[in-house]
Parts: sequence; C-alpha cells; structure tokens
Amino acid sequence: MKKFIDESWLVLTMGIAFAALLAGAQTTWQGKIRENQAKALNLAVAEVVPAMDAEQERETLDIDGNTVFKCRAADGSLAGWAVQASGGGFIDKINVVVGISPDGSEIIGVKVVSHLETPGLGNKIERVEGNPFPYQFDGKSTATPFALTKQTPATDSEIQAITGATYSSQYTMDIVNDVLTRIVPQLPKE
Amino acid sequence: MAAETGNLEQFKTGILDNNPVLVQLLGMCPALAVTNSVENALVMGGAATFVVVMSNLITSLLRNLIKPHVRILIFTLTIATFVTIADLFLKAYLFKVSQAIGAFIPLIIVNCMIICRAEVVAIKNGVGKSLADAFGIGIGFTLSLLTLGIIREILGSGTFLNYQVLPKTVWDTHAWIIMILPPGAFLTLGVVVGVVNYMRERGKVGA
Amino acid sequence: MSDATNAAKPAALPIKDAGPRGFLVSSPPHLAAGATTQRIMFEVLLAMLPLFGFALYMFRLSAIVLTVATIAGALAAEALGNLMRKRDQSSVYDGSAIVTGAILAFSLPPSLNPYMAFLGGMVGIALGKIVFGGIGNNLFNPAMVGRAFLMICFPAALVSFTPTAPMTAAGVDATTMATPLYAAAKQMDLPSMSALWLGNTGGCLGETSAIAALIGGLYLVIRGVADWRQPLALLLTAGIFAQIAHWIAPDAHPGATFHLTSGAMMFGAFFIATDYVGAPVNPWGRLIFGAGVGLLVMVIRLFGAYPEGFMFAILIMNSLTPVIERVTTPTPFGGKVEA
Repeated sequence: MKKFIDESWLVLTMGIAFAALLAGAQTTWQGKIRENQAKALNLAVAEVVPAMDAEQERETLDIDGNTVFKCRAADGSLAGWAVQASGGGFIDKINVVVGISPDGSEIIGVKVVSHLETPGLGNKIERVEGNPFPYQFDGKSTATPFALTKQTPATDSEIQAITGATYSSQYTMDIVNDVLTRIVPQLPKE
Repeated sequence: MAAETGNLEQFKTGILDNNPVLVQLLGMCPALAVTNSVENALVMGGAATFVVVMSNLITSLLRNLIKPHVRILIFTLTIATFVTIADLFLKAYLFKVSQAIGAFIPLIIVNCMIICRAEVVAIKNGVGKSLADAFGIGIGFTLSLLTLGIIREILGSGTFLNYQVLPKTVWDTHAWIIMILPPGAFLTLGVVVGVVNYMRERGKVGA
Repeated sequence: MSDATNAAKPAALPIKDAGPRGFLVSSPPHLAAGATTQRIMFEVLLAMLPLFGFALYMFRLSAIVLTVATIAGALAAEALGNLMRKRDQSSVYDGSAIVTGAILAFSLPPSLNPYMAFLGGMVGIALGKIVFGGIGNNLFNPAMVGRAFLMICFPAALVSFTPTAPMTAAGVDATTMATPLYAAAKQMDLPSMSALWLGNTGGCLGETSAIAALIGGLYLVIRGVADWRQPLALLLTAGIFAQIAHWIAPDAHPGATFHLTSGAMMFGAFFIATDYVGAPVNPWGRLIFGAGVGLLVMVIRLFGAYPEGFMFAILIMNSLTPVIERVTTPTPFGGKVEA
C-alpha cells in the first residue's frame, strides 16, 4: 500500500488539480460557447427565413429525425419553417438549412451550412453572391421534387447543375428533395 | 542535446537548427492539415505554443518528484489538460477559426513535438531553460506553419489574412486551387523542406 | 527502351558527379546499339507529327501556343533543376523534356490558358522528374504528373471545351460542347464513328483523332522505339471490358470501338503507356502494365466521377511498377538465386 501511494500520489494529485482547472475553464466559457453556436445557427436560419425576428421565441420540433425551427416574425405571426437536413456529398457530408414558407407550399431559400466539396467547382453550392446555383430553389413550389438538367431549365421543377460539379449539384438537390417529400408534408398546420 | 547550452541558444535552436516541422519533421499532422490559410496557421501555432510552454513549465517544476516509470503518464495528463483549455478558449473567443480547424486542436495532444520537449528538455532542466526551449520550439513551429500558410493562402486564394493581395479578377478564375487542398499541403511542405535542406547544406559548405 | 535510357545516362553524367552509384555495372558482352536518348526522343517527336498536324487543323493557333507553352515550361524546369543541382545542362538538350511537354500539351483542352500550360510543364518536370533525380529515375510519368497538378489546380479550366471553326462547319452544335466521353457518361447523343476515327469531335489537343494517333503509334512500334506490348495489352483489355459492359447494358454503355477511339485511349496507349521510365522493363511486366492501365481506364470511365481516367490509370500503374517488376523478373540461367 505504501509503495502504491508513494508512486501514484503525484499522478492522483495532478489529476485532481487538473480536473478542477478544467471544470473552472468549462464553467467560465460555457455560456460564451453556447452563445457562439446559437449565433451561427441563427445566422443560417435568418438567411433562409428572412422574415424571422430573432427576438421572438423560436420553437424547435423534431420531425422524422430532422430538426425543424418554427420561426416567427416581429408581429408574432408565423414567418416560416427552417428545416435542418444533411446528406452525403461528393467528398463528405453536406449540411443544409431549407427555409419553407408558413403554409408549406414554397421554398424560401436553401443554405448550405457546411460541406467539403471541391473548392472552385463543388463549393459553388454555397449561398453567396456570384453562385447562382442555390438561389434557383428560391420561391419554387414544394409540390414536385426537383430534377437536374445541364441546360437552361425548361420547367419550374428543373434545377441547372453547376458546370463541372454535377455530383455536388445532384447531392445538394437530393437533400432538398428529401426535405420536400419527407418533412414538408408532416409540417404541422397552423 | 549538448550538455551545457545557455537559455538563448536553447531558444534559438528550436527556431533554426531543431525546427520541429522543417528539420525534425515532427508535428506533421497540423502542418499539413490546417495551413490552408494564414489565420488557421497562426491560431494553430499559438495553441501549440501555449501547450508546449505549459507542459514544459509543469514538467520542469515537478521534475524532481516525477518517478521515471510514470513520467509519460504525467506528460500526457498535463498536455491533455492544457489542450482542452486551449480548445475551450478558442471555441469561446475565436469561434470561426475554431470551427475551421476544430478537429485538429484536440489532436495537439498526440503531437509528438510536445511530448518530445518534455522528455528531452523539461524533465532534466530548470524552469528557465525549459521555458526558453518551449518558447523556441513553439515559435519555430508557428513560423513554419506560417510559412506554409502564407504560400498556400496567397497561391490558393489570392489573399493574405483574408485581404486580397493578388488581383481578384485574375485570381477568381486562376487561383491555384490545389494549394488549399490536401495535395497542395504535401507539395508545399515537400518543397519548403527541400529548400531549407538546400540552404542548410550550402551554409555548411560555406562555413 | 530503358536499356537505351540507361545507356545514355553515363554520358550525361560527368565522372566527378557520378556519385556513389555512378558507374553502371552489368555483365559483358556489351553492345553499342546506337540508341541515344536524343535519337529516341527525336523519333517520338516525329511520330507525334500527324497528331500535331491534326491539332493544328482543328484548333489552329491554340495548338501551337499550348505546345510551345508546355515545352517552354518543361525546359525551364529542367534547366533550373540542373542549375540547382550543379549539373551540366545536357539533359535540356536530350529532348526528353520536349517530349514530356508535347505529351502534356496533347492531353490539354485547346481553350486552356497558356500560362496554365506553362505551369503544368514546369510542375511536371520539377515534381515528376527532377525531385526523383532526373531522367531515368522518375517514378511517375512527368507529363501525367503535370496534368494531374493542373487537373486539381484548375478543374474548371481542364474540363471546359469550346468548339472550333472546323467543328461548327461540320455541323456540331456550337453552344454546348461535350466531349464524346462526357456525352457517353451522360447518355447524350454520341458522335459518329467516322468523326471519332478522324477526330472531328471535342477533346484535348491530341486525343480527338484516333487515326492520327494510330499512325504515329504504329510508326513508333515498327521503328522499335516503343514496345508493342503495352499498347496491345492495354487496348485489348480496355476493348474487352468495354464490350462486356456493352453486352450487359447496351443502352448505358457504348461498345468497344467507341471507347477505343474516344478520349485519350489511342494516344495514351502508344505515347504515354510506352514511356520507358515509369513502365516495367520485363516483357511480361509490360504486358501486365498495359493490361492494368486498360482495366483502370475503363473502370474510371464507367464507374468513376471523371469521364476520362487515362491520367489516373497511368499514375496508379506507375506506382505499381516496382511490384510488377519484382514479380516478373526472369529467373537467371542456372536456377533460382536467393536475393
């Protein structure tokens, strides 16, 4: 027993001291970390449901395994739904937030939150100025799933693929289609 | 490790002759993974420097108490604690960068460069020399990451610390995308190590 | 082939620079074959003339500009490498860098920015050849290394093809230009067989005309500059694979003739797969190498994300060459020798 204590007291003491140190760091910074994460999500949601008011309380639902935010406008009326969805991309998972109009009939916007697609080609799925691809979904009906085309879209349910990044376009569209067929019909009516 | 070296020499050797990335080829994982921009490289370098300084400090303070056969355990415990603190700190105050290089901060724990300094220097030397060594190694590590980061960000994105330095109109279509992708990391590291060796050889011949 | 390269090597190395493994040791008798690197490279360039002529007709000025740019890049890197390694500049004049540059140029789309082509030539020689120790020592085909670099570096520029005047005159749709392989991958209308053979299709400089590549390739084989084994095994394997795929799903996959005449298949089989340095030395090894490339090309074309896979197929087989070499080394006369 003495030998045991003799050899391990330092490790034990250090373990306890470090645990206290970590607990201190965790409690000090936890609030700030939570706030950062919430802010990042808020920004994404606000982009696909622009009418949302950040002051209003946001309800979080779980529909078929997907997180759905019920977003309210400043006057308290329903501004829209933000559906979190993800799916396999060309390289790694693509995480998307899809904004759906209050009555569930229209897509307000599609925003890719995180992805690892090829820079220069596949990363044109990002919703930033100069990338026409993600904006094609805006205002489209949720009634029919989208189809990919290489030419200028002939119908409203066609989405033009990014040149050189057909697969990235396809996978992003697949995630949106999945939201349309699986989540949108289950959105609660108000 | 020479027997008698001053603190200043110990500090300098980490930056030049014993540069962890470019000469010892330690810490390759972060050097390859997070050097696609200057910002990421700086933050990674800073975090690793903080950890190596704290680890060397604690180890050299306790060096007379540490039993030889549990020393690796104590090194790992110390390193893991300070890596976690660094990780939490980045998440709280540098959220964007922490998201970009997130997975690689916890991996500092297994960065052999840090445990190497504890084993080679801190456990045998006083606090002053251990700290000098830690700062030297940390700065050497940061500088090598910075070198890779500068080359890769300028060629790959045409920017430096997110400021456009190469003409945007040209670089929007002509950026060397490979440089911000993993293959570019290997190419840049290989070329930089080659150039460093080339210059070291020349220096030797001249001396 | 590799015999020729090795024969040329000592001449290129001054004795003082020969280093620890300077003098080649082999058992007599030795025979002076008259094959120097220079002569072989000249023959290869000669064999490329039909392809170059056709590229000139199809793509006009851009064919010249791109070829000059890649060759200039290759030569610049070669000279710079010699300078840094304090070697004499003989390897600049032996023509091997010119051949690398030309092969690279022929595997680039005509609309590519010449500065990218120059960069490709430079990177190909610098990272594909110089870092391994110069001619004869490289693991990978330098031209393909250069192309792989460009492919990852400028993916958008490497996959965009614009139609040229001769094509629009022949009635090819001028607004959307897809290469035949791309059309096949997306199940669009395929160009006619005669267009594929003659080369009246979209594609890289040297890959549009199968017949021009075949003429040059046969010349190389007849002159003994290129081994017949790699092209034969390659084309046979790829053809059989394509035909089987066609039999299984006739609607989805065009047959063997389409795959053999489209893309870089003909050009690559004769000009890229026969590269001396990256391919095995032993006869059986060369057959295996060719068959492996053919198989990989078809696997990438049919199942991969890229419509064409010649570059990756060559690079992958290059990396397997040491293994092939070990397996196929013939037993010396007198029985097995323990290594």
